[in-house]
Amino acid sequence: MSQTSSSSLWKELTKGFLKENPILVIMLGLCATLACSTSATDAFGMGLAFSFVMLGSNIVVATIRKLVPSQVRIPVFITVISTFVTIVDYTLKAYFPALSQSLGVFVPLIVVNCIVMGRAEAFSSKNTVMASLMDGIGMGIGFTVIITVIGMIREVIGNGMLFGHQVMPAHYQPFLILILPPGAFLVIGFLMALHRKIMITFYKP
Amino acid sequence: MRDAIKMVSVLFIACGLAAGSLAVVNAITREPIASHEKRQREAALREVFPDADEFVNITPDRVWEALRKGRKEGHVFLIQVQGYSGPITLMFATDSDGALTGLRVLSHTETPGLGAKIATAQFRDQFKQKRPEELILKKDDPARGRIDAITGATVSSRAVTKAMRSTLEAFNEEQTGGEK
Repeated sequence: MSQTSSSSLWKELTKGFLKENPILVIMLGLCATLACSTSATDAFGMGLAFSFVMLGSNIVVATIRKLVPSQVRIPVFITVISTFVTIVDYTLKAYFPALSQSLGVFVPLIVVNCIVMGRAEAFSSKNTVMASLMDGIGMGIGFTVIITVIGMIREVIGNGMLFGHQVMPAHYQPFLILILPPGAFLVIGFLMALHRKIMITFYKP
Repeated sequence: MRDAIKMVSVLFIACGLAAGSLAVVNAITREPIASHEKRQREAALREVFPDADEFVNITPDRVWEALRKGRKEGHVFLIQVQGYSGPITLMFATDSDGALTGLRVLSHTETPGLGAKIATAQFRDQFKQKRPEELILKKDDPARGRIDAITGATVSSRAVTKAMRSTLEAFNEEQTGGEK
């Protein structure tokens, strides 16, 4: 996997979109996905914050992978990840206060999002910087697109709005359950079923 | 032993670099964060008491006197209450007659789409011109209450309403007690 031909790099990038999508296939760290997908705007913001941390941690972990003794790799990776998360948290607070307020505690919680740790451990600690960069971008895009789709579905059905604008007619009675925690599970479940259908139809095993 | 030294030094260096880069980020963002918080607070004071042109902090970060051309026109309060899923920070003001002039939710962690609606104008505007004794949810006391709870977020609505009432009652008691 460590060869750097452009076709294999392309594969590392695109696998995060569908084949190994972090939300629909890897299914790690769903807490942030559940909590921050009540509106499309929050979901998109969370996706971007996550992508930055994912990318930064993948690059740094791949760069230092040969210097770190395997016994202490987990604490070192966690230090790297939490550093990037704190950078994102402070930057949002300083320059995007509204977004920072609505994402609240879930930005700091990216630290314990298993998907970041999972990619550091399973991928970038064994691959080149270039491949890890591609993996990070792919995972980031895959995560952002899917969490935003979940956010849009939940916001439209559960609140009658989309990106904060009213889209449903005024007499529309929103299905509150969709913006409550169970709604996230329902939407993710339906998306997973759809994803399976697409994979079976277009990418026959 | 060699391994142990290597492990310790790698971890030490990694943490040192992390701490160093965070110090840099902190130095860059501290100014914008602090000035933003200050601006936000000033905007909030102005919004809950639009008629005043000066605010004097009489109890540090708790109570302000609202002045208009040097005359005392009312008070602004900043309180924190326990909501449904975490603390809610509220700022509200009363004029010299004791009627509310405005309410603002500065921060909260309520459920988005439900409890989070305490921050919408629709919920906040109904507090204008209300007196402390009217700050009860209609569903809790239909005879005296004048506040409509948010559908599906009674706990959040009640927490806000109740905290405002008790703060104002305690403050008024203190004021009249002091003047006697």
